[in-house]
Amino acid sequence: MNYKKIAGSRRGLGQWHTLWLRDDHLLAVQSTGYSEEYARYYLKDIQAIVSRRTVAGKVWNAALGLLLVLSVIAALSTEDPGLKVLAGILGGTFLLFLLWNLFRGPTCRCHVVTPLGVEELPPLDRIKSVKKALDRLCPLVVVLQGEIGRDEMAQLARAAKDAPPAAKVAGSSAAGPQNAASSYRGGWHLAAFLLLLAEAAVSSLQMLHNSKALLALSACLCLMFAILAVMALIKQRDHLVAPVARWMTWGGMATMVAGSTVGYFFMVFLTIEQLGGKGVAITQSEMLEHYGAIQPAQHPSFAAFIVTYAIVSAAIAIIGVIAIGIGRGRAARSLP
Amino acid sequence: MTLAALRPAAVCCTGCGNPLPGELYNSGRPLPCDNCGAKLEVEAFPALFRGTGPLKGGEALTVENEASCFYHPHKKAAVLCSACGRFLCTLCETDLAGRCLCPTCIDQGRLTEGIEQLVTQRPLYDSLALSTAVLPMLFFPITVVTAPIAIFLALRYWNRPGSILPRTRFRFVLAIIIALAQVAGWLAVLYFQVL
Repeated sequence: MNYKKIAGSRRGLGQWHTLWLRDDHLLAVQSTGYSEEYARYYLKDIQAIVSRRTVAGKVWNAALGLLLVLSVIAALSTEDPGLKVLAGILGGTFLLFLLWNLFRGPTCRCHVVTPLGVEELPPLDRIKSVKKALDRLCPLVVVLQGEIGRDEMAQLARAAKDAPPAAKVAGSSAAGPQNAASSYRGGWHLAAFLLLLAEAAVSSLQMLHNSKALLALSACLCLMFAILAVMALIKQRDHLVAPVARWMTWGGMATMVAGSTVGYFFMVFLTIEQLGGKGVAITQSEMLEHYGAIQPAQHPSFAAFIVTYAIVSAAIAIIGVIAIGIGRGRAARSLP
Repeated sequence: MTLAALRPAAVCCTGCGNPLPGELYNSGRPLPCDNCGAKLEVEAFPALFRGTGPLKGGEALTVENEASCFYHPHKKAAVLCSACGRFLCTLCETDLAGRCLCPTCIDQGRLTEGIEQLVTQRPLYDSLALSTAVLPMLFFPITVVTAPIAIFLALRYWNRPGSILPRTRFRFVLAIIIALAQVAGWLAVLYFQVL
């Protein structure tokens, strides 16, 4: 029997992963385009397939939706037909990606459990693809391993609660209960979320009255948030942090990067507009001065951007703070 | 399969490493982990509850002229190596792809890539040849050098085992055609320049 592809490719940085099935084993292929690496999981050895839901798909939906809204606002607010077409093309592209992401369904991370450990199956990154793969895999596994009823499995698993675990996650970000009792209580995360909340407040103030001082304060807060968020991301690699807080940290970083990038473009274009579109060479400091003098109320697209940025940042920060608080509460209750 | 023949075991959460409760297994819907709250779906198989079984040590010889293992002269031969025919004890036999092989044959198979099940990586020379033919076209003067290289790569590695996945030699053929077209182009330029 030849290999049959059971899961599409997931592209990483310069490499992609595919999953293939043969009558007696699963083949995970990691390809760079010029070479392939193979990992075989024999069906008789597979103990379990575990899929864990992730919020990556929702984050993509939110990001693409936000970009779509911004494109629509930009298309409606500009008079220039060229810019209208450009914003339309960008909006259409974001809409296509959004629909494609919605069609592919919720995201997950899938692992295969064998007697030698737990390995991730990168191509199975959607619930749909996991279900499809299991539909093809299970009949073959049943032929090789036989069947056990659900109740019997539950009974054996309950008995194992006192026994040592069958397998631990290799290279897991938080592998083992020892991490559950770690000393980290989410301090870096909390500080980062509070700074993000402060940044959202400053952005709201900018909406009311923009000034050079507020601009400088916002830039400082962004920089401090970036440092704290990086520290939090390092911490969450090795410690048990609530999944929501983990994703909010990534979400906060993404919002900050997207906000800074879009904000920079606004700064350049609005300054050019303020200077009357003439080819005048100005320094970065002069540009900041001009930017600080721009009042968002006079530019609907700029105002929409600031309001969206402030709302998203505040939402992420509040959800993150609540998640850390709940996590601390749970940790306190689980202490003997 | 009787319940007595099985051992208790539990799958751990892939997020926090905490053992998962039995209610999560094969439930067909995502349920939260007790510890971290991550939503998980677990498809467990009987292999989880089977032990690894006792280790095979090989049976010692009881009679002087009994057939012995090639690698362990004091152990009783149990099987023949499917590749070289050596006598093997139960300690030395390895079941691989439906064949019983001895350690030497497995090692040979690994080195010569003769046993597909032991191949862990493969270079894709067809993709390399095609890239060598196509990518330099972005800066066409260097095709004078890269076209012959692409033809060489395609011919040199034509018979070399490539990917173990279903794949044709289409890339090799395409690389040769493109590279030959480039060579023909350069020859034409040379011919008309000389004329």
